[in-house]
Amino acid sequence: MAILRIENLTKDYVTGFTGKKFRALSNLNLEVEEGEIFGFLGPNGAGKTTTIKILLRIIFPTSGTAWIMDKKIGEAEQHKIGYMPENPYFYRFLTGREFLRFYARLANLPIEDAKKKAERLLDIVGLGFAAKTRLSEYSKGMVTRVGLAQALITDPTLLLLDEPMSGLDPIGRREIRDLIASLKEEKKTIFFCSHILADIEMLCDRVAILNKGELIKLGTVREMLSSGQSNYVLSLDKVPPETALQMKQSAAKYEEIGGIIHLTIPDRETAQKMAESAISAGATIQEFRPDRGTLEDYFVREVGAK
Amino acid sequence: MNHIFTIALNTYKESVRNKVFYIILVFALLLLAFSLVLASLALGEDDRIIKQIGLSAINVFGLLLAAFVGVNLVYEELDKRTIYTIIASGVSRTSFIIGKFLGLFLTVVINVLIMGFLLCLLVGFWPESNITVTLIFAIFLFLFEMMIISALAVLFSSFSTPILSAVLTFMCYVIGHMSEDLIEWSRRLMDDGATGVANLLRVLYFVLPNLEIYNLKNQVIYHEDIGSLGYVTLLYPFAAILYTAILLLIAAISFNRRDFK
Repeated sequence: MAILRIENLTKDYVTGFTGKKFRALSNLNLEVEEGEIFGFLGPNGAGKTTTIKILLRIIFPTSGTAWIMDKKIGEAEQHKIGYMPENPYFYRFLTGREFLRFYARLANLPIEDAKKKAERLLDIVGLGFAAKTRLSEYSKGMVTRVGLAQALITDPTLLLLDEPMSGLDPIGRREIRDLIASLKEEKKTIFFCSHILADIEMLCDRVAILNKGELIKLGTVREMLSSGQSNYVLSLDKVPPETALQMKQSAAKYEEIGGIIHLTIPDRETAQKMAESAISAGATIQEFRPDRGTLEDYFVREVGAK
Repeated sequence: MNHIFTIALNTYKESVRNKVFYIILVFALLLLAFSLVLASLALGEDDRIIKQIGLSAINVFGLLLAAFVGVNLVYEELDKRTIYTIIASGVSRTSFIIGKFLGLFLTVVINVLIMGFLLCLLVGFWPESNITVTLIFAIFLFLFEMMIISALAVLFSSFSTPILSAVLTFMCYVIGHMSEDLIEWSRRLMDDGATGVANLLRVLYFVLPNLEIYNLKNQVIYHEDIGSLGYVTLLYPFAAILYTAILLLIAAISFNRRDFK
């Protein structure tokens, strides 16, 4: 069942005194299924944040609409939606604990429940030690974590996360990635925008790519990675010099690092023949695999082509 | 109601954790202390000097607090984008505006009450002075003037920058205290044939509140009659509440249609 359905969503911004219109989002159609992690990709200015802001009624669409849990935006039950904005800037005068209690109270949670929930979430995002510290003293990574805790305060069914990994160090990214993965196990639906494509590749079931306000691709990560031309990677050790020379001429790409030869070969048949001749010349195979590229390669190819 | 209350409480917390709150309070207290020095120097005028300086301090610092804290309140929420998660939490824009206003007004009320209480203490303990009912009414009515000023600050802050909002708020304060003069000038200008300016003054007279009705300073200092008790205790406060409600309604209407970029 689609938990989020976007139909012909269009947004024009009026800029400057002349009233010139700028189309930030053009006829977007999208469905997000219940329980999936949906990646929303696009370069800066593609319309990702605009889409999320329309879904939350922070801005209003020029035309089109969307349904969240079968209710039109504006009529949706907001406590079932968790939201974390990009580069969150929260109330700096509040402590981490006060901040989360404030959002819990906005969600109509009774005071005692709000207190318990705030403590539990601070522990989950690893900020239990900073519960009494004001947000003005938090690092960027800590603000991101408390922002995620805020998004989870109502135990929402749908999470809209705008760049949830920005500002985090590798360990922090890993922790948040694990947290997002665990949320999926709790059957939550996660719709998230990110520039860090490696995270999207690791986490997302499906991905939409947006460019200049238009949807240009929609599908699973696997579909996107297998849609391009596949090369084969062959890594060999102990290759006699004359065999290495022959291989250098036949391979698309040749690299020698630490005595190991890494070859990129455009088709499977040639790769197989080269592997066989290397073995018969006394070499050993370290690695032999199809190289489908990364989501980043695909993204650059698709967006660059437009 | 829960949303309005939660936002109001948070705004109050924000305001009292702002250094401006304490700076204003300290200055006001210093001025009250200074009034004692002056009073001891001016023989026979003790009562008048303490009450004049004391009430003026409450007026000026109350106004500064309402204006300076108020003009930043909504603007900063938009500028720093803290409003995004509030709206996303299901808080209506109208509740947000009302909550912000109530939080600001609560801050001003507490500040004015602290200053008013200290003034009453000074007056009560000073040998040549005494607390009068008029003094209590003066502080009471001033709270309603501050209610209007807070609502004006929130309204301007909802669509313009803090500096412009502060200028507009102060202008309304000054014009509001010259309300009677406005209509008199308008009559004279009309007689002189300057109908354009005369009409503008007339519009200002009708649009802006007459804040002078909330000023009982002269009555306190010169022990004059405050007039009808019904006006002071009911009509003027009711007029302030009505005017505040209209200002907040305008702020909410303009806010409800806006895209928060």
